[in-house]
Amino acid sequence: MILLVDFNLITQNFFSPPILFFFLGMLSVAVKSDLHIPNDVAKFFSLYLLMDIGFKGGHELYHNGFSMQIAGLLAACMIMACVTPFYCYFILRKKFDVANSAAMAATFGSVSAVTFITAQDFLRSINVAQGGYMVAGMALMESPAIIIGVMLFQLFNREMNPAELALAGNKKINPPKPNWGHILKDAFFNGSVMLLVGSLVIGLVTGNSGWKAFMPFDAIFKGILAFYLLDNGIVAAQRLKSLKGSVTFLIGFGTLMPLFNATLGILICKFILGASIGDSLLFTILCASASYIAVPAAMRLAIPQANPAFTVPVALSIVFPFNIIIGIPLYYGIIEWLHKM
Amino acid sequence: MLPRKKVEIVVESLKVNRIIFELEEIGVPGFTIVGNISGKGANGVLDHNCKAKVFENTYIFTVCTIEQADKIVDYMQGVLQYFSGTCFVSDVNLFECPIKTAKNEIKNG
Repeated sequence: MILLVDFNLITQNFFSPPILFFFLGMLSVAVKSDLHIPNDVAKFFSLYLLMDIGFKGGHELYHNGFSMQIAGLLAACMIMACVTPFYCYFILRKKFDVANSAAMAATFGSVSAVTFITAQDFLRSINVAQGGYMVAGMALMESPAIIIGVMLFQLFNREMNPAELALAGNKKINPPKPNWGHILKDAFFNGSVMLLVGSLVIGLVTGNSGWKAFMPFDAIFKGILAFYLLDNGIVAAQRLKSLKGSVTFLIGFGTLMPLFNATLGILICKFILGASIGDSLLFTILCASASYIAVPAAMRLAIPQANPAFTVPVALSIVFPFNIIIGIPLYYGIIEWLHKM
Repeated sequence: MLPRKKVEIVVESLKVNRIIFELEEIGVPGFTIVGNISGKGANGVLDHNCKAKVFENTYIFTVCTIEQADKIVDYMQGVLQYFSGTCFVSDVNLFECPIKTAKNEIKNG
């Protein structure tokens, strides 16, 4: 019975316009179409989506207020963002060097805002309530992984690898030290975090009058999400082609790790936090997603030895499609089943 | 016409702010930046179609003295050890507008 429910949810999710536009983007790359979304337009859409969900979250917080359960959920978000990179790192070390393992572990510790937005849209489409405070949870989960990733690298990278030694003419030189000022700035004041937290606060302080003025802006949300996913489909397919090296391992890791993180998220929500179905799904998807914008950029600067040809394709071309196509309805089905028990 | 060195840099966009800071520290008289460029190099095709900017390159060029060019090359050797890109240095002759030069000389006493 549970399998039947899950399959129906997966089908329903699969045939929603945003997901179909994602496939259209991927298809356009497969058939070598010249379909292209200008970079600045795509950037505008991502800013719009962050601003919209931030403002909406702030408005919901204005109405629902703050409680101990919300504090518990936010604390759980923070803890998961700090803990996830550690176990990811040790698994990745089986195949990769310290730098690449630390950088990829950081992407899994952080979150993908668009995956979260797609999950919110999924809940809205099946009329399941969700808490606006989960947006704050997402903002909290963006940054810690960047710091943990650099710390892991600092902790375990004692020696130069053979390639670096060869580059340095077999003379041992100290690898560049990370600039913690820049790292902390990238972690806590990057554009996504600023806009998300800023919009949340503006939505909270402006209350009903602010929301009334903002409503026409929110009305185009679904169309913009579909457009953004079309662009993501194009970029994900292009990046998938650049995936090299341990492809089988990366595909396995990119699908099994979200499942493992999601399982942890579901169990935490059910047995520790006692969260609602909607909040449980959003927390689970935050745990299961991986960052493909903020963290790879921060890692490129903080750990230049790490190859972005691993971090971006895994997070964008494997984890992201897996979560939005199969993950969201699958996690929802399990959460709903657990709640009925 | 003044003999000068032209330094051209193609580098990952994420590193540009740091390079600009270094150029200003070295004291080059000015520089030009062309962002969001595409092309192919040792690391394959860079298509600038990535929201994380990690697959995006930027072109920077400056015309400066030999001493300044040497300092830039020294700095870029460190950068290019980890970041993809390239750096060229060539001899150029700088044309200076005579009126502008005279004005600058008067201004500088």
